Amino acid sequence: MSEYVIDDREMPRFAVNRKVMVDQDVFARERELIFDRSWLYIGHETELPKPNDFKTRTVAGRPLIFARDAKGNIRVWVNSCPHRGAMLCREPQGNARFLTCFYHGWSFSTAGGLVSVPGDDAYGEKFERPNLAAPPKVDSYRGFVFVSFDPGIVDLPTYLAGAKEYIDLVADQSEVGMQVLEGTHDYSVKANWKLLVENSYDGYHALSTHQRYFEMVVAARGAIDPGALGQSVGINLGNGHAVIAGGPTSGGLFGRPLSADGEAERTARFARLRQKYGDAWVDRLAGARNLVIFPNLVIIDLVMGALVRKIEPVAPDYLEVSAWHIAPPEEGAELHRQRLDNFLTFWGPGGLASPDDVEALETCQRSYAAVKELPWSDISRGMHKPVAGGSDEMQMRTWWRRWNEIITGETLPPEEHEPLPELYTGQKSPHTATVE
Amino acid sequence: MEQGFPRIEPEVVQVGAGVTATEITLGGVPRGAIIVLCDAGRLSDAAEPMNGLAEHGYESVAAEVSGGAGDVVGSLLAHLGARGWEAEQVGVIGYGAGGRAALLTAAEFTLGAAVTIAPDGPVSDPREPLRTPWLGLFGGDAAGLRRLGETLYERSPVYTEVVCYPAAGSGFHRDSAEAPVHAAAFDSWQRTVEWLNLRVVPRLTPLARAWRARQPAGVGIP
Repeated sequence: MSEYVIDDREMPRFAVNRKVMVDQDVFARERELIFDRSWLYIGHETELPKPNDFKTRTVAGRPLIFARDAKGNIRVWVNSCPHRGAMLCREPQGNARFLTCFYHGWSFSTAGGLVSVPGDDAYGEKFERPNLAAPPKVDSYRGFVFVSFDPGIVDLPTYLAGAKEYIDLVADQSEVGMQVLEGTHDYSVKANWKLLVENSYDGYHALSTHQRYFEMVVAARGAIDPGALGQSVGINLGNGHAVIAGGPTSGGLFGRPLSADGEAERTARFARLRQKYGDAWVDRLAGARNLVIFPNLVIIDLVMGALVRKIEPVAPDYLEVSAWHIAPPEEGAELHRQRLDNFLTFWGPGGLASPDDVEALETCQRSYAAVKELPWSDISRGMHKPVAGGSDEMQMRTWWRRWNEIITGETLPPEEHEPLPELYTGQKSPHTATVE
Repeated sequence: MEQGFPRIEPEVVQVGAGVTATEITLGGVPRGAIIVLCDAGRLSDAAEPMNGLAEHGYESVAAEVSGGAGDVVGSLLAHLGARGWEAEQVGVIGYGAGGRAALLTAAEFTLGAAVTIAPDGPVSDPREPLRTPWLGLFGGDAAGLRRLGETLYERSPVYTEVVCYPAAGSGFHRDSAEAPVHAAAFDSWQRTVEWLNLRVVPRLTPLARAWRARQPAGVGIP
């Protein structure tokens, strides 16, 4: 049995050794075995609306340039001059067809080609000039762009497995294509990156950690339907990906009440979506979902707002987060304003949810100094149930089993639960097709 | 503008049918070529930015415009074409009436980059998508110009930007002892050069061309 994970199906009990949150060797193995061999999210195509737009991003520790070239193709380059290594782009974003290294002045296009070398006659005629380096694999699904540093990795759709369907449920909310809004929430947490993975689809903590948020919502609305929370389920999507999916009314649990005009506009859009996709799919669309794509991409769609969160491990006890808001661009100004308000009051840096999570995770990390006295964290909720609920922890166990398999080589079978009710399996009407 | 380089006196040349222009040509492999458009009667004012551009490796050709600029720009482009400059290796900057002409040029031609500096009078919307990445540098009414900038950005397939210097007034690009104007003159010239450097396609050196010919097709195309 793995030294890191207890997966006892008899009791049943699932536990993770806190050593994995503090140990430098584990961190180094994660870099090599997980981050060098997975598909990793870098950004969304709509963040680069114009030719030669670029963003600089860090993925698996590597500084990268996420760009659209002059012809409109999405490109990802290593943000390092192949000459001597200085960073080509030192800005978080911009627009430039040519990226010039400030060290020796070598210049490259957004398509990756070396364009000029000051005083190039000092190099021999046969000198092979380097173009920009790139991750071996770049691909996208519904506008979500991923890279992999493993040239032999399976293709992106195969990797995403059942998570594709949940990306579809986010992407299909716009009739013209969901768009990532301008601006990024960049913040750091003094905690192990896996704690934020767990937290991102931990339904159990919502009411205790975010009590103030729900008090605010109740005060604004008069009441909420807690039954909607109990309806949600945890779903294993394969390859370590998992989701908490809410029932059709769970989207109504979060956020301040919409104005009458906002409500009418949203209802009209969902009615058009019903015509396009059918009721079964749109009932799912209207529910909340907390999705984690292994290892570090989080999509939390509470319908009142949708968050895309990329978790970047920096050290065993330190992580950096970049988070974006994705929204239907056709939304009217007032509904959009209310969406932003909901987004900021929940996930914003001064919001009523994310700062609570940061506090919780940082205290976990500090307490792991006592790992020898208190080695195990429990993640057993709902193991014995016929169907794992959203407040259970099957989704986290799914992630941990994949983590354990990669790090230790030990394969643990998936949990057996009853088939999901139709509410969570409905598909689009047969006459519609997803355009990728 | 940088000091200390020898000043080059632009040469008077005739380009196309009846267009008098001034020109600075450079030896070696120049970085690119810039068309400088000026108000009628202000051609001599172009000598200073032309020298500034030469310091960054750009050849330049300047002409006056009044009213429709298409013919003048067409003649200047043909003149540069005869010197081997391709459209995307050419940028255009314009002052005063030339600034309005630079915006219209950005709608009419696909060049490397375009900069409008301090156009006289109201700036009218060209009513067409821009084909050349365009930077507008303005004194005066910031809100109206920002709206124009947003309209052009939304409409155009290329990147556009508007920068205003409301504290410096319409002559912001001519250096002065007044602090806001001095700051605006420095900033606007730096933005102009950077806009060109980031977008005008450089002319390849003979060695770079030989190397590129050895590359597989489609690799590293600018």
